[in-house]
Amino acid sequence: MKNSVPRLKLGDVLAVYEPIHVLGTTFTLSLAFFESSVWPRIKTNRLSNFLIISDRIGLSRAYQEAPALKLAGREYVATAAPTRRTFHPKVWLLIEERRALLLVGSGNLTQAGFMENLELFEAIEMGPETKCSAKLREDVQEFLKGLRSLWPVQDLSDELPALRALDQILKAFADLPNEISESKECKRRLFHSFQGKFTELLPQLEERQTLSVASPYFGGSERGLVRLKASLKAKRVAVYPAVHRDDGVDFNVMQKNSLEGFEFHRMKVEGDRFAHLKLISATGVQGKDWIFSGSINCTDAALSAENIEAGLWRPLDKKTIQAYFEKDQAPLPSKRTELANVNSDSVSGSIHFSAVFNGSSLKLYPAITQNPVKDVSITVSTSSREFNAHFGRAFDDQGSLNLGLNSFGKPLHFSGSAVVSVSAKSNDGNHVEGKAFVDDSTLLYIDASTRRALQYALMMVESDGIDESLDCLDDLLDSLDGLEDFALPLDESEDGSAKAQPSMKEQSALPPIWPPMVLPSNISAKSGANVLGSIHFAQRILSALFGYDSVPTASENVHELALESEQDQVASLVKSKKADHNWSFIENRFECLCERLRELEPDQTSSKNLWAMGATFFLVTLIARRAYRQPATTLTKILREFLRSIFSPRPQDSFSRQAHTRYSTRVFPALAADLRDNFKSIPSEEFKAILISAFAFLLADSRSKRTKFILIPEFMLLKSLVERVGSKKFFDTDRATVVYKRYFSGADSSVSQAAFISELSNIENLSWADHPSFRDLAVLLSKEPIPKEKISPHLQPHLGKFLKIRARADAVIALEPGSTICDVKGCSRRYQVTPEKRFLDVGLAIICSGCGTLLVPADLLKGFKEQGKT
Amino acid sequence: MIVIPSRPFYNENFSDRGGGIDFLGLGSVNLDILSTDLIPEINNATSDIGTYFLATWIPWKFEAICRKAGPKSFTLENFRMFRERVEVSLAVVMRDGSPAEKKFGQVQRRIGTDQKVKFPSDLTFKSAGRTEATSLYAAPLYGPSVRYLDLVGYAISQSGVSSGIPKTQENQEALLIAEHVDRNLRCSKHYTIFESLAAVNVTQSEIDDLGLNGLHPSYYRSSESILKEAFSTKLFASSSRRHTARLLVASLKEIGPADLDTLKDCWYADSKFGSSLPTEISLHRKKWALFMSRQYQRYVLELHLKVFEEGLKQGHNSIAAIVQELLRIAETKNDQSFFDLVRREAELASAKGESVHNLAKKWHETINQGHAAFEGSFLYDDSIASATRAVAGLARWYLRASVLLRDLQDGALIKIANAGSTERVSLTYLVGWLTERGDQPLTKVLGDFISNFVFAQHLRVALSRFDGRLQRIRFFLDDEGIVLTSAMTAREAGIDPYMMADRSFALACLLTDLGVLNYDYDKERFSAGMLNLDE
Repeated sequence: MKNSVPRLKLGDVLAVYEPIHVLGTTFTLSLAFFESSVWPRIKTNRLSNFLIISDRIGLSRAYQEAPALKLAGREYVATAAPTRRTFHPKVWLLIEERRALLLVGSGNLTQAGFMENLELFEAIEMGPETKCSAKLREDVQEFLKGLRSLWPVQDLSDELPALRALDQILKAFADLPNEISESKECKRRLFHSFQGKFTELLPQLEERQTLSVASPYFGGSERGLVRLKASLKAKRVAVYPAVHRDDGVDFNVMQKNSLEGFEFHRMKVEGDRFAHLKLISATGVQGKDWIFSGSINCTDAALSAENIEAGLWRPLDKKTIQAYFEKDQAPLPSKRTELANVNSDSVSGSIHFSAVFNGSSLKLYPAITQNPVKDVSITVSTSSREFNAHFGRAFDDQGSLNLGLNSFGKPLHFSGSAVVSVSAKSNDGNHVEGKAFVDDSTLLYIDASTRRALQYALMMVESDGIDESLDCLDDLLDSLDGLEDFALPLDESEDGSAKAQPSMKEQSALPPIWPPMVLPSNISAKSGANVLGSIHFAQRILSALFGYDSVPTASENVHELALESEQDQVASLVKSKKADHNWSFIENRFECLCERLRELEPDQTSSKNLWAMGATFFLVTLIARRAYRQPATTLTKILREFLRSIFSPRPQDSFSRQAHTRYSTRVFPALAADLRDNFKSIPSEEFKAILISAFAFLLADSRSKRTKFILIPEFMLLKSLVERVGSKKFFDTDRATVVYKRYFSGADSSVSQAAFISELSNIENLSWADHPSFRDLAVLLSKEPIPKEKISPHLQPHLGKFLKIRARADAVIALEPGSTICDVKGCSRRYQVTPEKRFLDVGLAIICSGCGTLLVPADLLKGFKEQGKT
Repeated sequence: MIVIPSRPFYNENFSDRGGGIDFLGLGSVNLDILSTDLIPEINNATSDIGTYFLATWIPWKFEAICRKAGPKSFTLENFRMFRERVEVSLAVVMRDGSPAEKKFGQVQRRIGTDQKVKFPSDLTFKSAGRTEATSLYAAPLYGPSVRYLDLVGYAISQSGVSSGIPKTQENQEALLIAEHVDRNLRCSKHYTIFESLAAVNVTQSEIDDLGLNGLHPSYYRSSESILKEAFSTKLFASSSRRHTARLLVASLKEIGPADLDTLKDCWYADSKFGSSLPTEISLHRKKWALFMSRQYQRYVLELHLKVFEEGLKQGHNSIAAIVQELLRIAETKNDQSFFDLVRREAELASAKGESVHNLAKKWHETINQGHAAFEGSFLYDDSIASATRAVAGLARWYLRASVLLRDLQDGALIKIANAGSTERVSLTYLVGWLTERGDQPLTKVLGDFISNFVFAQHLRVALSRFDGRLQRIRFFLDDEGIVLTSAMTAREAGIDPYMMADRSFALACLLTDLGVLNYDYDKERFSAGMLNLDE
């Protein structure tokens, strides 16, 4: 009889959803297999959390692959369950906004478990259009809570990405629409060890029912089988032990004939697949037959909940169940299999901890109750680099160990996944050790699109980073095209409307000039040779900017040869570019970026990437400034220009409203406000820290030069973004210090680190009252006499004119942003750009030399009035 | 979109197709050295000056036709059509037994000769069953090189960027070459085929006639010296290419006719060679020596990869188990250190003593390309077990590299020695790594070596290249330890390494076409030609 059990590729099952959260549990795992064969199939566009929890032993073996991994701790979290119990469930949960997919089975996250062994899985969709019982939903929630309970009681969810992810998964699952669980038709249950012993969770059999058990492992004895039979009150048990690769079974076959009520069969398996599935069923009474599949081997430890296990139970008719227990005519081997002792591997000692990098320090948190240790050696391995540090003691009073960026003698720098190894002595002098992946919270805590853009930027500066696959090339090229289109100057087309220059992809179709001329050897001609060339070109240029010693990767087949030719090209280009005026090139690009930002009307699509792209360009420019040793004045110019491009209202020189545009006035709203209000898009925490640092730097710079700090309106807008997401702290000093060191410092810097830090503590309290014109307004709009010396010098020459009209209602006029003229009817200087008007350019209030009207930028006046109310 | 079944299901294999090259990612660094310091801007396919000439003429002729037909005809589409016409014809005259082939000899690199042309033909790629990948302007063929040598560029578009239409450069050499090719072709009565953009329907004999009048690249081997000088000007514009050419000539003069492998091994291993070379050529030889050291380093590492995979295939699931097997086959003792192994190998050079430095010096002085123990010969000897070659080969490579890297002063040499840094295993990094561990037990050293430079190195490189379709990973962890991937088990694991092609043959062929070298096709040896390069 042909086995009618359905077959599916797990890769396809995991690709069905576009999840926001994913949880996977496994005993053993290969993260190289995961990153190469599973991750590429996951739809990650909306992904917030991807958490893999494995057994400690499983993870300790996976560290072998760590130097090769790119995504662990950066895109997903892989952690060991902090328990001394064997952690064995194979449960996957993919959660979208309104539905979830539950996948429960027998296969570990390895090639064998996902592909090669014969494994049994069951998937249940939990959503508005599918049926599942409220009980099942409760089971899943209990399982999640059970996992959560493995971690220490104290709340570390803000610090530990694994806990944070688990908490968010719990919440997201609980928040799924209630109506999805109303159906009573489906009686499926998720049984797991957090609920109790499986021998007690499974229903007892009726007299006529037969218990069938398929399992690869029996713990080397009949104990599990006997316990199961007794607990479920089964009269007859059909056992299907898996035949192992050495043609043996994990059972004392000599005893099998002495066991009453048991019969043993060989399960029919196609090819040479190892039947790793675990299955229990009851058949014989119509309407009461059921099947239970999951991670539970027929061992005492698994059935008695000594291990942590999970499986799905469901009613099923006998005929269907029989298909899962197809008998092979060949007899069972009489040999007892020799199992590799999984514990014999060098399980990484007895220190259990989590490692988190937050951008400014690396913190190690004890995971299971951990005694203090001494003579501590710490090694951080990332790719082929190692960083070493030594400490006298660690984990006193269960406290975390905080390692600054400079604790390792050289700056800590990750170029892929990283593993921390700790080697120490326990108080009784024994050698102890442990390992953990470093979870990079600066990457894990940001939204998917920003994370991707940052990854692209990192990939471009890391030698191993370029994935020569077409998918990646396309993604990267799109990203570069985005950057390029975004920053390229606009051309005027014949009808006067602005159009972006064509991207490199489109150039080949462009009409040539006549008579023909050879294109000079320049960037666009050379870099546009092919896609691969473009990528390597970008990589090289950015690598040059970042000062990395980049090594191009080799490629496949025809690409190898194509690359060969491209490399000469790019190398010479970088050299020549360097010899020319690299900085001018970057500065020009940066100015184009700011220009585009000032003209930009974001839409739904572009709003998603605007912050990330702007950030990337901004940071590249800042790093390049240092690399090319540009003076500090250039830095302040860059900061001011960028901040104004984003946070200032954007007056347009010429504007005619088109049918499809959202903006209806000549002054476009500040980009940051538009993104926030219309697209709910705000900068990432990382970028916010950089922006706050930029404001603090300019504030300190103004103070050192005794000039007025005029970016108050811009800062107030940023402040509103920060407050909007309810951050606990306005800024993180450590993070800001890193920003200062990385982007702002320099021998000729006008702002010392101390002055910068000091300004950081002031900046949170900055308000409209700090605006240079605020005091002037307070004086001018009061009803008191106005001595000249109490107002700013630029207002003093025309104070008399103002005083003459101060009683009138129209003595004060709010000017729309960007306006630098007076348009008061009857004013002798109406529409004229008179000398005092230049102060409007920098956001100050002025008195018109023609009519005496007090002209105040609208946002300043609004801020003044609001401040007055408070 | 899959339908999720309403009951338990079996898993199915979804492994990706296997593939990949340069499994440890070391080849790309070698390529970088080659294309920066040794032979830039040509590639392994660009071995015939005649093909360069024709590639220079095609855009020149197209432009000339358009000047007659009018500006509107100067389009990318028309260029493609014209180029295909010439290229299909070119492949026809290069076919086995063609009249031109008989008269002028075979080119080193035929292009497109697998095409299927039915005559009379319209001479399009479509009707010949060809793709753009077989165009001589394709990146792996002559396309980038004719641009680097400043023979062809791109016509500028109205927007100031490339129009994508090749245009012959307007320098003296490029124009001389194009006009010369045109003059020859005009001698054929069927030249009209290339005189307009109108559709054609031609016979094989018409094309063969063109072949006899300059359409066959070998025709230009006997062209006038002024034409060869023009090409030489372009070829030797790069000092790296010029120095390699001069090194080739000087070496052949010193040691007599030789194949290129012998020459390169001589540059690498013969401590007595080249004492009279001019300073800049002597420095260039040292660059080649370091490059060859990297080539052998890559070979040794890939040999370990092969052995590792063979071990996995035999069911050893851990690095420790494979190392034990490796050492057993290589007949080493358990308590041996890495330096003990080095001493054992150094005995082949009759070198004894404690100082590894002295052993290495003696090795370099004694063992060169003619010696049976020379690492180049030993590594390739497939009558010796791969494990033996891998383990002993590592020690022999180490002996030589230690000498080559000693006291490097020149910046260019230091750059090559450090190329690849830690991620792609530079020469200095690996020699330093082995030196640091010299006194450790071989079991540990080889375990760490395979763990770092084979297992993790391969995973790192393969993961960064994975595209979701072609599975480049050859092994990873499984429930039972390290296993070959599904894609690998289905194919042959443990393939033999190969030495990366280094463009030297293409350069030597061009030099032969120019008369700087002679080539004995039977003995496959080069010798110095009549033309003196220094003049």
